[in-house]
Amino acid sequence: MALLEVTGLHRVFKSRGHEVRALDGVDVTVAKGRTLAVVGESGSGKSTLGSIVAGLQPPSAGELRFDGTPLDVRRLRGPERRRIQMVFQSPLQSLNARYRVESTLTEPLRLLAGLDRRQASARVDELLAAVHLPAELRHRRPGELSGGQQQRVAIARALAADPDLIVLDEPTSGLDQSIRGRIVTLLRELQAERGLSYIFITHDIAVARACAHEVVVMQRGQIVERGGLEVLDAPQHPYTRTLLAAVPGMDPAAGRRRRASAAPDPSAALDPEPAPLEQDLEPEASSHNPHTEES
Amino acid sequence: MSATRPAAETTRRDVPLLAIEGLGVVAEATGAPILTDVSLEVAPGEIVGLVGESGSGKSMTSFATMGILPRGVRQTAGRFTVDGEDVTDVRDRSVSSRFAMIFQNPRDSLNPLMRVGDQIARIAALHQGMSRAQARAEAVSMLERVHIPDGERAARAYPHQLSGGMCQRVMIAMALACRPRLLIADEPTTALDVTVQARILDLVVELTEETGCGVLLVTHDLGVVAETCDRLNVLYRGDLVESGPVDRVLAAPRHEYTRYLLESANELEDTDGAA
Repeated sequence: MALLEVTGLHRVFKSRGHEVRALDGVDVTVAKGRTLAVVGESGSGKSTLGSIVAGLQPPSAGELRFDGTPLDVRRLRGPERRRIQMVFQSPLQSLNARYRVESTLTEPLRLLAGLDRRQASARVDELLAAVHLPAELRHRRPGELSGGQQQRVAIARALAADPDLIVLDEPTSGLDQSIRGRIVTLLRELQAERGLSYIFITHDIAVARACAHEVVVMQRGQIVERGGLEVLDAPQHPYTRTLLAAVPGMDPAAGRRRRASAAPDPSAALDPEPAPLEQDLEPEASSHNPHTEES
Repeated sequence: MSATRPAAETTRRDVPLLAIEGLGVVAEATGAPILTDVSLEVAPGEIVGLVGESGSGKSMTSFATMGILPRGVRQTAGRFTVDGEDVTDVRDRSVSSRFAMIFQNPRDSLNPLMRVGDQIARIAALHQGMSRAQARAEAVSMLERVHIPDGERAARAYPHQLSGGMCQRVMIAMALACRPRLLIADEPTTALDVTVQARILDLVVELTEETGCGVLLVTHDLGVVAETCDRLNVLYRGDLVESGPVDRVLAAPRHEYTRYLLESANELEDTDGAA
């Protein structure tokens, strides 16, 4: 059964006198206990989709239904605010640097799960255990933790609210490869234990392959391909194929083959359209940030 | 293209372009070692990978080589030679030895207030003693050399008007304007999308073949190394634990840590997905 249904989602940014369609008619559904991987490159709109679902920015148009009822993401309150949580790419930036782990975790326990101070404090150890962190870490601040530990704390903070859906926006991208695997394993384990649903936003195809039940591939605000894992194994859309072909593997011969087969100008050969001089479709990366302009 | 590379392999061993011997770097405050006895070589036309996880000291190796170690960090040992000539003194390997470096965040490395053409021209004037007009023309030609379609137009752009991949091309154009013998590329594609990454790496390989410069490619991504490098060095907590030809190291790693890195990189490939 669908936990989240998104239909006809649009998000338009007005930037330097013209419109940028970050989301241009996106439909997705996320089933209970399942993972929807959203893959695509910078500017494809995947993060915008995630932040709208998490209530961090309003859509320009479109409908969201959560657990059978319409979801007004402009004013998330009560249970929906608790039931949809988010984990970001950079834990160091998303955790409060001045809070000890304990305070980071008790805040949602008190505000969203409605526990009193003593109950919340007791739950902290359980949450740390759930993400395989030693209980002693509750007294540390984010700066005293490794990148992998920080991301575990960020996941524990999302769990503190006892959510049904977690939007994971590139949760493994800033981590070393050895840590990346462990975080993916943890997320799968938590899903199995708690029946969580995930929207897993990633540009890392290996991570998508390891986590996803369903996959959507986004390009320029639209979904160009969708399906099960076969999307990543036997892609139909040319863009998905380009994306998959570009992922470096462990085979030294692969790079030589690609270069040998590429047309003289690799930038022209790999991009269906000429390389843009102005890449406006990059709200996340641009220093000129349309998100802040509108809010 | 690839056919020219094995040929270079037979000649390159005799004269290393860059040799680092016994490099040691410590944190000044605590005296804690950051790099211990690191030695490596780059031959002309060769792309050498330097791999390790966060904190392994790979960026410190490239900073020490460029002579741009950050404050609070000190080189305590080590000898640098370029073409057999001792350049251990940082002043000897500044402009004349023609080292160029590109970084992970190209947009942060460019001056946001200056048109990119002017930034490249300034480097060309400095390193090649060109006049203003010559340097301008050089900038446009370097931009086209890195496959930016309309060099004239791109030269007039400011960094914020360009995508991340375009900014990295501009950085490479700027590096080329030094006529470098050695290019140090420190995580040059980590901040870029995979399709853009593939193009930038192909560009680096192509320019290495054309100009015969050597490249020290610093990365945490073994896939990137596999596809571009001739040889590979693995750093673990400031120690060089393994080095050798890429094909050999990936196929038959000798050090435990290299095996661990390879397993981590392949770990996700082996899972069957959640379904």
